[in-house]
Amino acid sequence: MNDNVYDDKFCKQVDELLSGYVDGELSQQQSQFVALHLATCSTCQQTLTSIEELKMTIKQVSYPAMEQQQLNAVLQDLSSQRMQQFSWFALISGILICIIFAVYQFFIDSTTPWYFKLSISLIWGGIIGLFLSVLRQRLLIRKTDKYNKVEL
Amino acid sequence: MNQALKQITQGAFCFALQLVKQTADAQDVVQEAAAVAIAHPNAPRISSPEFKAWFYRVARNKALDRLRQIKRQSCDEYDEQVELSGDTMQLSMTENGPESSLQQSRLKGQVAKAMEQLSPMQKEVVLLKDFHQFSYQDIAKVLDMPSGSVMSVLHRGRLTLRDLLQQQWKEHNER
Repeated sequence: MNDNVYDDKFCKQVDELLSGYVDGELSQQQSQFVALHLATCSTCQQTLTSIEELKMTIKQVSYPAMEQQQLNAVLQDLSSQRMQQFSWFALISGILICIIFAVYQFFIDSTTPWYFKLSISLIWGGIIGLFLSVLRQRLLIRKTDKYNKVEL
Repeated sequence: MNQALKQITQGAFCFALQLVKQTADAQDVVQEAAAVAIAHPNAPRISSPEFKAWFYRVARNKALDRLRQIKRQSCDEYDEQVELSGDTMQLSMTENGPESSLQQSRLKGQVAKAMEQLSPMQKEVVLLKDFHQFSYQDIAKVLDMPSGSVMSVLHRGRLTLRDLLQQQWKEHNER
């Protein structure tokens, strides 16, 4: 009687872990626990075998594939994501190079008086500073916005 | 890379088909998911390992939207029949498993029918694990559920499915 109660307790514990054991998703300790129990319990061993067979059965059911034309259209759409990323990279790099060159030319130009250079620098410094602070704020809002994923 | 992307797209189509049942709807679902993958600011890169689970998740959500839209929750037959591949379909869960192709095609229907009797969550978890071969962690990502619950939902689903199939096969053998 006591043995049965003892076995039932272990069977219940192992039953909850059997799927994880079949899928190799248990920790080493859990796997060892299940393996030890399976060596002595035919009921749990049977459940394990039936799960393995069920897995095989489901795996063997096949479904019709997507039409080639439709598949190509989707693959083209998805590939355009990479093209988009590359285009953004090229655009931003080009603009940055132009800006650096223009700033360099502006500061080495000896015909422009120093106070004009200073005032232009202050104006641009202010614009860039404001832009960065707004950008930071927007990014923070986007990160914490709970409706961010609604579009999914 | 293209081969991997092709596999992901076909897999997502198959998952959508398993949910919406109609080929045309499943194709629309995958196209809508691809449109989201291009435009969404949080979309992972196609080359990143997170892309597969993310794309399945989008496809799943689009499929659920589609189901709500057409109100076809009461599951019809697949318009293109689900086919069994391979000749190794062993019905060792029953003593007298079918051997002919006719019986195999009957079994195909039985599996689909039994699958429909699971709860939506169990069905999706079982399909993602046993058909699409996802890890528990990725299943949790696709279904937006705690990864700790995946194993228990999967186990309950598998045991229910096993019992339903055994019952169906028993009834069939008794006829």
